Amino acid sequence: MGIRIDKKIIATMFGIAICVMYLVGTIAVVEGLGSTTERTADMFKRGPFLVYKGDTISESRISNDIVEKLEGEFAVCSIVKANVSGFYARVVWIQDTYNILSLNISENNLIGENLYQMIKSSNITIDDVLVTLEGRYRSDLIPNDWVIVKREIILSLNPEFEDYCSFLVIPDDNKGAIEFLKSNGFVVSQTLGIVEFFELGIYQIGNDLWGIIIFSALIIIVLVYSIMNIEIKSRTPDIKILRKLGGSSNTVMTIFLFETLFISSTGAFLGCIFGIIISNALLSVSSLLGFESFITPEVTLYSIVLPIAIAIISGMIGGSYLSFKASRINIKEVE
Amino acid sequence: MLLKKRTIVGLTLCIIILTTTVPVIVGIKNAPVSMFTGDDVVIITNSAGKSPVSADLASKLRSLEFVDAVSPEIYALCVIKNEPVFLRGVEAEHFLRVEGVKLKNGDVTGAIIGEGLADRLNLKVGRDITLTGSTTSAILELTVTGVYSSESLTDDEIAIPISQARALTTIPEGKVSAIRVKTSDREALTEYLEDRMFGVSISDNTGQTIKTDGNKTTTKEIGETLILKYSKSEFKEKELNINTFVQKGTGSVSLVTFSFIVLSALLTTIGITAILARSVFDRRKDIGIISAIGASRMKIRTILLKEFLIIALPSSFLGIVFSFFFTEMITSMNILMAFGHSIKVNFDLSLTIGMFVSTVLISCISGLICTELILRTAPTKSIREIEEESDEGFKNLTSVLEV
Repeated sequence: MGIRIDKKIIATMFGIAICVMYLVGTIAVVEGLGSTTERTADMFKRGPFLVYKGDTISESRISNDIVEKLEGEFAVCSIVKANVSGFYARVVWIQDTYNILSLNISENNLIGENLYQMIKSSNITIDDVLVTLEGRYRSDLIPNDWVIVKREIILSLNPEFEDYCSFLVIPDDNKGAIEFLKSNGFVVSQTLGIVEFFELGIYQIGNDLWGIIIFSALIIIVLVYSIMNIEIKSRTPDIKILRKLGGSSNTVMTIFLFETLFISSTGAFLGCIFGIIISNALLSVSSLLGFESFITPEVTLYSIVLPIAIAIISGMIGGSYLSFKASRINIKEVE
Repeated sequence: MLLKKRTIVGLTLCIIILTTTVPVIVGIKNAPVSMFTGDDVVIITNSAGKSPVSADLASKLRSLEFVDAVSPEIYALCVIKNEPVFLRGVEAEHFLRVEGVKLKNGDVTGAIIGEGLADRLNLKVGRDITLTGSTTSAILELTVTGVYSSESLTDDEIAIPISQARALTTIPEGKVSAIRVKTSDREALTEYLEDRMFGVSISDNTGQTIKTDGNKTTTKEIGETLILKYSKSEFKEKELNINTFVQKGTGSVSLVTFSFIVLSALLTTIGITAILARSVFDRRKDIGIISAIGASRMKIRTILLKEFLIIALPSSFLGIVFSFFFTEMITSMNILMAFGHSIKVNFDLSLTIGMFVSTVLISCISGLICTELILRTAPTKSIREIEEESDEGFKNLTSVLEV
């Protein structure tokens, strides 16, 4: 069985190719943006990680069973909100064997410098319990309006902390602990957030662009359907002649389905090539156009398979419906 | 003679791709400028070096009669519940005055939060939020004490006391990232600052920046400039600077959005050309006949140009109307986000007219090019080609039947 390639068929293939080119090009560019951002962001130090469960560190509860499973260096903290000499403040117990928080504290009662300036006393009450302070602290990592207390004080404020803690602070080189906690559903937050902000912000833009791609794909489905529809419609007299000459409905239908598949898939394949070329070309000349950028387009299996599937499926639907209708006409009706 | 339903439908579909993509892309690109400025709000930063601007300037500006409100601000870029959140350290009353809004509920003693962000992160008055540092490692927990509603992008932000925001950044005491000024007389403000040689830059919502040393520059990304000045993050292996990441990151986004516009324009142009070419070529016998009976080429071009306009005008109109309602719908649903802010897709007059005119022009030019190709063929050949194509149809059938 042969297919004669004429100008109309070439034009149809080209039309499908342009639609697929758009999808392949845009997907490659967006995938490139996402993966390059991720790779580049990983090159930065993020500071120690803050790990907790739920929405906030005050409400968070991390079981001691989980803490015992962790390896490497980390600090354990338990925090409550309390009335500190008439001021509403946070009271925290810290176990920081490896001095991750850079506080150089042992088991002492310490008050943050800012809170001390408001209270101005070494004897404070925490929820009406008298506590003698042993010093002050100043930290860049934790707020300077907290009170750091000994374990027995935090347990008296909340006995739950016998079996739980509130949050952990883990240095960024303890990847094992970080991955373990992430996989167990804990919130793992970088204490140096600017890189993550930009990374997530760029992902948000990537998602917006995916929205444009999906919307455009729906339009392209209709376009490819129409293109094939027009092509097969122009061949309707041929279908009728074949039927009159004795071809069965199924034979005629098969012939034109094959032709539709050939046109759609060839157009889709060409479109993939055009899409890869044009996305790379645009990014290659970016410096000439005045863009400072670090991205390269990423052609993944997904970015090729999806547009090809869209083109073939919509082309087949566009071509097969009319072929089916035309092949089913009563021979006696054919003039 | 070219007017067919399928031609208008095809053209409209091609045009919709362009008229939906362009306003969304423009909305994404406009987001950074909109974060800091407004119709009557300008932002003052330090024009020289990397040092922040002095907070004292704010109190001096408040005494001026042409200044309505002044808000000294520290900017921090944070992440809450895995979402990027833009945080401002402010003096709450002054901030609300510059924004021209009041609190919907609560008070200004703690963190006040925009209604858009509150809805998205399910935060309300009395709830705590855990924040981490922006340009320095830090941990902070605050209580939401108020909610405000704003038409600007600040509706997706958090405003906290300026002293607490300072702990999340490397901005020293007595300094702020920038000062936002609500003024009814921008020229007077610029003159005041120039006369006193404050060494600052004033940026407005057109992206224009005036330095008080007399030079004018166009600021591409105001937010990028601010972050470039004030960050000191450390890096693992290479001598890679956070400034580079920010600059190239935003440059990458610009390049990707530019690529989208180019690809959309290409698809639309080629699609329109293909559809009109099909229509024109289907009618080449008629064109051949008209030409054979004596119509001049100019006459034929005029007839066809009118046809192209009859097709292009309603198609462009329908495409733009559909895109307008579609983008309004997605804007109201706050689906589109960029760096923690909802993108406002704005179909302003110049953009709408630009898209309408360009799609009509593309249609007419494409159609005329196809017409020229037909007119180059002798009329008798055009008429004969139709009969030959019928023969080709039989040849096709023969090839199809070959086993």
